[in-house]
Formats: sequence, structure tokens, C-alpha cells
Amino acid sequence: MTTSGTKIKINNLSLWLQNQAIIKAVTMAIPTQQVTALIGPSGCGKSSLLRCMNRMNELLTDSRIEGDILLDDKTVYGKKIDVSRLRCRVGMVFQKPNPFPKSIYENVAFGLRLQGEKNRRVLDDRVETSLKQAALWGEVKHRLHDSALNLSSGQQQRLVIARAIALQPEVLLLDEPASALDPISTLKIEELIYELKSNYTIVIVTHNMQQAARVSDYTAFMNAGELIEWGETHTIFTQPLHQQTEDYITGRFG
Amino acid sequence: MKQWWQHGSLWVWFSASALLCTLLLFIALISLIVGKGLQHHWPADLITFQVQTAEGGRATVMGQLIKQEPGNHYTTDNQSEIDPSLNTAQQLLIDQGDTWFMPSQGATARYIWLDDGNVLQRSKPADAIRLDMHDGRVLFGVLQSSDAEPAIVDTQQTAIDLPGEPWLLLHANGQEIQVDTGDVKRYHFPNSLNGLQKSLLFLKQWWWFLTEDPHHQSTAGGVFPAIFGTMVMVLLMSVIVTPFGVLAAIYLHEYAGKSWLTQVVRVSVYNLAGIPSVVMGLFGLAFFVYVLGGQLDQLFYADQLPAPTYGTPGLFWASLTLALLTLPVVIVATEEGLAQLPMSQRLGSYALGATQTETIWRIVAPQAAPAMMTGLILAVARAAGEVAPLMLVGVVKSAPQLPIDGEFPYVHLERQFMHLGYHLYDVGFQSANTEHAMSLSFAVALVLLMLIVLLNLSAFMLRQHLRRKYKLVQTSMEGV
Ligand SMILES: Nc1ncnc2c1ncn2[C@@H]1O[C@H](COP(=O)(O)OP(=O)(O)O)[C@@H](O)[C@H]1O
Ligand SMILES: [Mg+2]
Repeated sequence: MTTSGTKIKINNLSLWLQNQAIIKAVTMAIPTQQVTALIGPSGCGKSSLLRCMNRMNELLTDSRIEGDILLDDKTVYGKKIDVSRLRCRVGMVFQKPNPFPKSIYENVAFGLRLQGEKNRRVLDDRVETSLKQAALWGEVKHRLHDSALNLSSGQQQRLVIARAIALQPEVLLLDEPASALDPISTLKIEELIYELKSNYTIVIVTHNMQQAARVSDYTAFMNAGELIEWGETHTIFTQPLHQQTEDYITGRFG
Repeated sequence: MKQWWQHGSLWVWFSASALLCTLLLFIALISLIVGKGLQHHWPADLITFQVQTAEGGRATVMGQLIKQEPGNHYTTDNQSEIDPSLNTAQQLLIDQGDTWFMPSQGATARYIWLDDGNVLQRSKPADAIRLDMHDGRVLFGVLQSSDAEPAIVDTQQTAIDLPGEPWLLLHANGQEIQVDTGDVKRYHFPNSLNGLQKSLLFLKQWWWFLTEDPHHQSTAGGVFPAIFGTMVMVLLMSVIVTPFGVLAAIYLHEYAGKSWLTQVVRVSVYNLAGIPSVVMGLFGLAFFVYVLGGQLDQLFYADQLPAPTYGTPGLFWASLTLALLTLPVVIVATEEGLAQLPMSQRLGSYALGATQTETIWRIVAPQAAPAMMTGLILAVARAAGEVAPLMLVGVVKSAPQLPIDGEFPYVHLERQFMHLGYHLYDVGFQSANTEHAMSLSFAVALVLLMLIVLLNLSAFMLRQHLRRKYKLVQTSMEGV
């Protein structure tokens, strides 16, 4: 596997939420158009680290960071950064599907409409390609104007992915995207991730080791807010440098 | 007993009986108002009573039997001493129709009590007639000379030209009077109507009541201007209070943050609901009418001064005062709706590049719409029943013009208007004729209740519609 470059660089990043240290001096790189998995015991700060990349932490509670995150070598934490623009470039999908109570079509078109796109043909086009990329088109093309809430949760999660893709982001952040789904829907999501990585840089949080091994090219193992080690998934899973990584992967801890 | 206490079943009984009492009172209230209210327009039979007088002679009394109850009524001249032998006998209250215009009769002579023991004979003469006059008089009697058709005749609607010859009417109280046929608005022969005709007439009378103007100091005619005034005022109030309340709630909940100052503002707004409405009315009069209205007049209607246009109580100020009164209700309900919306919905929107304002207007507010409607429903329920503040800021006994009519600019927000709640108070307590007034009050109360139900029902339907449209997403915050 070749690394064509680094999309996101995390430089000595520390995060405090409500004055509690959540992430401690993490340094790592997210390679372009590869899948990077974040693994670690629950509560270790995986989601928080993910939210640092599109600056979602600041929406939830009072947060403070030190260090930096660079997207294409430019900081995302500068004062003049347009956060909306950043979030369009770095899309995010949450653990539980959260479609809006609108039609399937309007869910996918939501981001484009925010950007002021009114041309019906452009919208139609983008909705169709996004749904196709999210492997949902075949199931919903006849009922685009039905409520998104009538879809199954597996379909809803793919819809939410389509909604993120519709903005043509460069990076997709997936926070345990399949943990609330049944095995068949999980499989579909995994296949989808495999398809998507040719176009997007993907960071996925998971606590399913097999899933990390199956879908990711790189893996980072975190524990208690610290990054223990990261590298190619193959290496991490076969020759981890640290004992606790091995313990966690083999299921002896966590 | 101790066991009872321990098992808590005592509390179950307590609370159950409290609920039962509430229910019973509620049912009693509703059935009283509906029963009495409907009764007002039922075409009752006209009964002729042959009565034995105190001197041993005979007299004839005619009229509608209003009620019948035992004892203690002052049929004799000596009102302070009640003859115990009389107490067992039934007393009948008879409505003889209007008599006030007759020289020898007082206004109170319309209703008389009869002692059932003195009644020798009752009959229902088929030719007994009820005349509704244009000037509001209601006359009962028997026509001595006329060519009136034995049917329900509404001269306004059927446009029958009654013959010019005056009719000679033997009035229910025994006097003969001349009735100018041009003064007759409607007449019918109640005793000759069958059940179906009576029901039809009943519906017609209700229709007239709902659609006509009141006259003769509101003791006769309909209540249309009051219905119209109440409706327009409540709608105007909704139009004012909804945007204000919703925006205030959105600011409080979404933008203001969680400082102590927000909390103080919130608590004060909630407590605004506890201010007595009449105090609000006073504020409306002092501030809206005199200060704001006075300014408006100076700025825009200077040519008409010193005659005030907006500087006097009127529809707009009344609506504004009620909007202020109901503002807390809308704010509280909207805030609750906003708080219920799961965080994941907001985050989903932010993650797609939405700003806070875009998130609020595209995701948050639409989903909180049913809660806003709940607030509006409560506000309407409160506003439609308020009377006290309105008396200060625009409601009058009788308004010469409706607030909306064909005269440019069609909507006259500065006009004074009539209101069902005040009308109820007016007809019930301001008129000399208590029996008639009570009955009329119940009819007005029924209309007021129906109007509130109607207004609430439409707001309720709108909310159901919104709920279906924005089915609330019930996801929790975990996994965000
Ligand atoms: N909004 C918040 N405010 C305060 N602490 C938080 C908040 N969200 C998460 N945390 C804390 O941050 C730590 C890491 O959480 P998280 O990033 O969700 O872990 P993971 O995704 O690895 O399970 C946890 O200890 C959690 O209690
Ligand atoms: Mg997590």
C-alpha cells in the first residue's frame, strides 16, 4: 500500500473539556485517500479526537485545545478559519443515524441548499450520485420524496453518509458508524467504506477489532487520552510495539 | 387504618375522589351551560292559565312556563310574612312577554309567579302567537283580527309584505293592543307547531341569534358583533403573540447562553404569567393607549386632533394587551419544545456546514413548531376568556360598527368592539329583567364556549398536521 501524502496532520494536540484533560499531546498523521481506524477502550477519547478534526467539540461544551491540526498543511484552528467551510470539507457521520425529518431528497440536498444551490438539475444530479455512492439509490429511487424517517436504520445510516458525500468533502469522519446496526447493514457499510476510499480520506472510530482489521489501512490505538501507537493496520495487528496494544487487540483488556 | 396508610391505598382513594369531584363539577358545569343555553331558543308553548283570584273571581294569564318550584314565593302582597300553608304548593314562573311599553305596566311585570293551587285549568290555544318586533319587543297573545298565516313567518327573509291594516292583539296579560304590521319582524304560532317544525324553528332562531345584531340594549336580537369582535381580537392577538413569543424563546434558549442573567430574564418572563390580567389592562390603557396611541395620533393623525384615532381604547390595543398577557405561555411552551429536540439533530446540521442561524431556522424551529402551537393553543384559550383587561382597553357594550367592513381601509384596528365575555356580563347583570337575562346569559355563555372550542380545535388540528410533518426524532444524546 502506498502513501500518496498526508491529508491531516495532528501536532501535539491536547484537548480539555470542562477543564478536564481528554486528549493528551497526540501527534499523528492521516494519510490521503486511505482508511485510518481509531481504536481503544471506550471513554479513551476517540470521538473527541475525531471531533477535533472538524471542530465539533466547541459546539458541545466549553473546550480548549493546545497544539494544532493541519488540513492540507493549513491550520484548522486559526482565527480567520470559516468553520462552516471546514465542515463542508471534512464531513462527519455519527454513531446513531440522525436523518432530518424531511424527505430523502431534502436530506441529501440539505448541505447544497445551505450553500445556496437552487438549480433543480444540479440538485437532482448530486442527490442521485450521492445516493449511488452510498449504495442506497436502488432502494430509494422510487420514493425520494418520502420521509427519511420511514427508512430502516441501516438505510438511514447510508442516507446520512450520502448526505455528507453530497458536499463532496475531502475527508469523511465516521464515528462508530455501524455499531447501532444489524450485521447485514454493518456489512453494507463496510463495503461502502471500501468503495469510498478511492475518493475520500476516511477516519473511522470503531471498537470492533475485526472491523478495523477488515476496512482500515492504518490504525491508531488510544488509551486514556493518549495515543499509544499508530501505523499500518497490518503492522499494528501483527507486531504491535506496546504490550497494551497487543492486549487490547487480542481482547485481554478493555 | 394503619395498614391502609402503609399500603398507600388511602392516598389512592383520596386522589381518586379528588378526580371524581373535579369530573362531576366539570360535567355539571357543561351540562348546565349547554342545557340552559340551548333552552333559550327553544320555541316553548304558550299556555293559558285559568286562575282563581284572591277575591274568588277568575282571571286568565297567558305565557311561557319558565320554571316550576316549591314554596316560599311572594304571591301575596305581604312579602315579609310567608304563609306556611303556601309552602307546599308549587309555584309557577310565567313569562308574559314584553309589557314595558304599556302605560299601566312596569318593566318587571313581564314575569309573574302563579300559585299552582290557584290554577283551575291549563290550555294551549292553537291560535296563540308570538311576535318578534323590529324594536326588540317580544309579544305573546292571541290575534283578534288579522289574516296572519298559521306558519313561521320571517318578514325579513321571506320578504312578505304584511297587509297594512294594524292587528288587534289580545296581549298575554289581558290587555288589547294595536300592532302595526310594519313593526313585526317575525311571528309564529308555537302551539300549532309539531316537533319537526319546532326543531326547525329552534335551529333558525339559533341562526338568527348568531348572525344578527343585538338591539334594545342587547336584550334582544343576536350576538354577531360580539362573536366577530372576539374572533378578530383573538386572531389578531395570535398574530402578534406567536412571532414575539417564538423569537423570544429562541433567543433565550438558543442564543443567550447559560449566564445568570438569562436565568433572571427567564424567571421574570415566567412570572409575567402571574400578573393579574386587570393590572395588564391598566398597563395597556396607560402605556399602549395613552402613550403609544397618543404618539401615533400626533405623528399620523394630527389633522384629526383633538379627536383621538389611536389614542383611545380600541381593537389593536386590546389585542396587544392580551398578547402581552399570553406571551409567557407561548415562550414557556416554545422553550420546552426547543429543549426536547435531540442534540444529534443540531450536530447533524452543523456537520454539514450550517451556521447556528441556519441550524435554528432550518432544523430546530420547524421541529419545535408543534410545541409553538401548543403554546398558541394555551394562549388562545386564555385570551378568549379574558374580560377584565378588555374593559379598559377597547371592549364596549355595543359598537356601532364592526372592526372589519367594506369601508376603506376595510380593517379598522382603532375601533372599539364587542366581545362575548363582556356581552355575557352586560346582558346578565346590567339588565333589569333577571329571568330573561339569566337565560340569555346562558345562551351567550354557550356561544362563547363553542367559540373557544372552535378556536382551540383549529389550533389543535394545525398542530397535528405539523406533528405529522415533523415527526419528532426520538434519538438520545448518547453516541453523539
Ligand atoms: N461534552 C463533554 N463534556 C465533558 N466531558 C466529555 C464530553 N464528551 C465526552 N467527555 C469525556 O471525554 C472522555 C472521552 O470521551 P469520548 O471521546 O466520547 O470517548 P470514546 O469515543 O473513546 O468512547 C470521556 O471521559 C468523557 O467522559
Ligand atoms: Mg465515542
